[in-house]
Amino acid sequence: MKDDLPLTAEMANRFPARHAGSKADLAELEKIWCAPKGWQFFTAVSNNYIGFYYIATAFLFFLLAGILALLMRVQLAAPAQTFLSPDTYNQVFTMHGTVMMFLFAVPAVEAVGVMLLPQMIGARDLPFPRLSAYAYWIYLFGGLSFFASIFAGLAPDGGWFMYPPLTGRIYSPGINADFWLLGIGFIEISAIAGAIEFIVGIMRTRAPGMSLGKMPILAWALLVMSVMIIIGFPSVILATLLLELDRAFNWPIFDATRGGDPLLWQHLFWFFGHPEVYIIFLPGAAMLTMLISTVARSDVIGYPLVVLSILATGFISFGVWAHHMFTTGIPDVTVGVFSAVSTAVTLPAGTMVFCWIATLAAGKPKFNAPGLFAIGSVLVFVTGGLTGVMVAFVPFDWQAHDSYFIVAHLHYVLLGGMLFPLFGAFYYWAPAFSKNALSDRTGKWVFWLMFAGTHVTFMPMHIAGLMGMPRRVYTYLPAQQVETLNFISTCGAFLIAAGVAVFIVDMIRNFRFAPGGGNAGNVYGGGTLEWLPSGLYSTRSIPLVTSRQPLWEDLNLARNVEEGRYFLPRSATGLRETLMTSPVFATPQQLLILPGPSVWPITAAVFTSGFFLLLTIQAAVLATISGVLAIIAIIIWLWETDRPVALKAADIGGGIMVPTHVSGVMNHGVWATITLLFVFGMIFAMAIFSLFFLWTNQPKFWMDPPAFTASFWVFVLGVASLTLSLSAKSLLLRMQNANLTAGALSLAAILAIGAQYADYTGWQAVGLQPEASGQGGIVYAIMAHQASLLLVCLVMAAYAMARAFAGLITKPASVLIDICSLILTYTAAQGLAAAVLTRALATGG
Amino acid sequence: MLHFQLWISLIGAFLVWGVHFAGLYLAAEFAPQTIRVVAPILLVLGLATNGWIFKRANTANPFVATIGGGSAVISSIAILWQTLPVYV
Repeated sequence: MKDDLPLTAEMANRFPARHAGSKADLAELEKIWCAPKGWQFFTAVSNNYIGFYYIATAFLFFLLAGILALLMRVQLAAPAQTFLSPDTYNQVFTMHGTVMMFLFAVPAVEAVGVMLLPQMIGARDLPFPRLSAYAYWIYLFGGLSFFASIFAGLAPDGGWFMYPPLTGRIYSPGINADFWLLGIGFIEISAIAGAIEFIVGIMRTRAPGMSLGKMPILAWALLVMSVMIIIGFPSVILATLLLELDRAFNWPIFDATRGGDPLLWQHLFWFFGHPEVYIIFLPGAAMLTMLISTVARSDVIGYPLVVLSILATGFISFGVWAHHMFTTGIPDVTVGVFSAVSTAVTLPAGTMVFCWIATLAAGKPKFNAPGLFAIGSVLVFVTGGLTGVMVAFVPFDWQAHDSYFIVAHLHYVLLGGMLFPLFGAFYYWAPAFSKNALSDRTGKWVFWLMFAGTHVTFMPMHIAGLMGMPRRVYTYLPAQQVETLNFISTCGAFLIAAGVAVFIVDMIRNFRFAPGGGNAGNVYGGGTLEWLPSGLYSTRSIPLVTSRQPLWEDLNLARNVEEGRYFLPRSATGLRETLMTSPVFATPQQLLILPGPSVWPITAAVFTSGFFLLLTIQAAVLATISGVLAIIAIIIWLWETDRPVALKAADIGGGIMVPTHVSGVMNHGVWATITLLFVFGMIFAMAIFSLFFLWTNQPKFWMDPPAFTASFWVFVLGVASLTLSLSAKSLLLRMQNANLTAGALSLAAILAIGAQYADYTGWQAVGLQPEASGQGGIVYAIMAHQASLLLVCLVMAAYAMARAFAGLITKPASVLIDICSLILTYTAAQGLAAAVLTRALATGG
Repeated sequence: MLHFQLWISLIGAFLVWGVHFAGLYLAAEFAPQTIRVVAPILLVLGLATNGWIFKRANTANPFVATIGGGSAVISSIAILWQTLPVYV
């Protein structure tokens, strides 16, 4: 079953099995998957619990940021008010934007994924449950600490995109900006961990038969979103790191007077920032698509076109970042190209809208709460999309830039593209997780209040913007003739708040979390797998999927699944398991053993949060201790999960045998490692872009690099490290000696450190200092990035040595060796590339 | 083979767009005087590659054909569209 081919007809015909699963098997499944009780709830790792915690926390941040919005609207309800001071207003609008974008929108769509995805694709859980738990806890601790900064008057106040020089050490001397720069670190870690989980989960743990063409649209959107996160987030990781270096150590990367350039921040930020909007929008659009399909009781019209549109939007979103910079004086041709690409986004977005309309037209839509939210989303989103086309045109953008017109545009897009679909999703999917469905009647009230509130709030902002009201002003004068418009907007904001309040009442009255079964069930008649009867183990057996709406196509599917007539009706190993399937046709390939509850993810999250927060208040020693403790916690967690399994192959139902352990490119850990290395690669690529940018823009600050001939040891040691790390796997295969292989990896790590040291001394010898010029700042930042990777390599090599001495490395193939070898190979290659490129881009500037 | 065609079409056409865009951006931002020479070369290369992808995606599998063909068409429209500002 190693080849990615469809399941043969002979195998498919074995399902549903003639014999039902036994009650003893079901009891064993329930025992294996039971949740931790009492105070141990925080050790839970199952997607049901983590997903629920995630959604609840994201919603809490939505409420907090919403309260900040109301404070702003009260301040702006009338001219020349003093309800908020200018400084407080700056903090409030910065926190509103930051919390909504980083602590609500991205985590909320990831939360929906964590909660729904396994059931939707027929997996028992995500492939790395402890990673999900870690991502959640780090988000909770980091988010709460970050938000608490506002109570101490220490919240960031430079706007959610934090442009230098305003946010540099001269104009923002306090630690407010540091809270943003390091606080965002939590979300970056959490989002990337979630993205890795989704990519591997969607590509490798789908139910047998669920080929790519049969995947639910939400799975497609989460896949594209995850790829976008691993491409886009590294840019903001690098940007925040560079600005923090700028602030903490006086490096001049964004200081134009010393060979830096503040525009570099805008490029780096918006390369992440604009795709971020689509990272939020695409899952929203997918939820919308699924809602529309169900309320219209029709399969999605133009399913491949919707998939294509999701893919196209994801790609094109990476070519539009400079439309946020039309007024910064970038070259005319660049402006023209970005304007063209920005308008090109209408192609896939329009295609999606027409597919939604066609689906509604093809079916008989019901105007229940999810239906209203779905249709309302389309209307609000299209309104925002149209003003988006307006601001994609340069002459108009020059007029509207930084005005309330933009505030109106972005809120229409985000509310229509994400918030309305999310509320629709709450009503649609709540019965899958609650003993009672939410009230449809109350849901309609929620919809109409929010829908009316949205237009009343944001429609007048278009006019206020066109009349010249700039965004981010804490007040305005009576003579500006925007009083009435602002008063109407304030009334609208309270209408939206009323809608949210009614929703909360509905939740309190009706929502009763029921993760172990006993939920309200398929109230709206959905056709996808998450509506199968389920317990904490997900479904009793994993179905064979033959269509996009399996529950509509096979009316006996739920009964047969519940009777254990499909895959994995029992636990073969007595542990938590799910099926690993092939990427395209979802043919069973492996029985994946999943880890259970553990205290280590939350422990690692506590210390990781401590590391960032202590750095923020400049307690370097304590931060280091916290960082070391985080690494120790992660090592213990890895040690526990990295276990040899006695059973080599298992019957997954129908007499089909699959291995319980695979190494090499088929292993899910290797997939995750490759994805993570892609993140590191993107950080490196963006750092090289930064060097290139400053090289071309600030040539007079450039100095000559160490000569290639004087860099002999950099290349010799680098090549030796690369060769050794590449040969680790074949060493284990041929020599079957784990100690030797782990030793070779350790030596490779030491050689790479030697290469890095030689590189550092080379730059020191020519006199380049990080605080002297933009070139110095970037070159040393690249070295710092490389050093952090080397630290990871060192820890990995020590871990491999410890495993080898404990006799825990399997032979002749080991996933640990695969992963260590991959990381070391990448690090050595990046070190060589960095040495070549920093030298090449330093000549002739 | 289907595997190859699927990935080529899913990712390939958009990579064509990405490479075309990156080339155009780098030329526009850092060497605007070369843009009128670079743009048509990039355009021809991009359209030719997309044509090849369109041809390869024409399989019996309708999902692959739609995704592949569609990607190539969208990518081609996008690169034509983003080349336009160079000449207007």
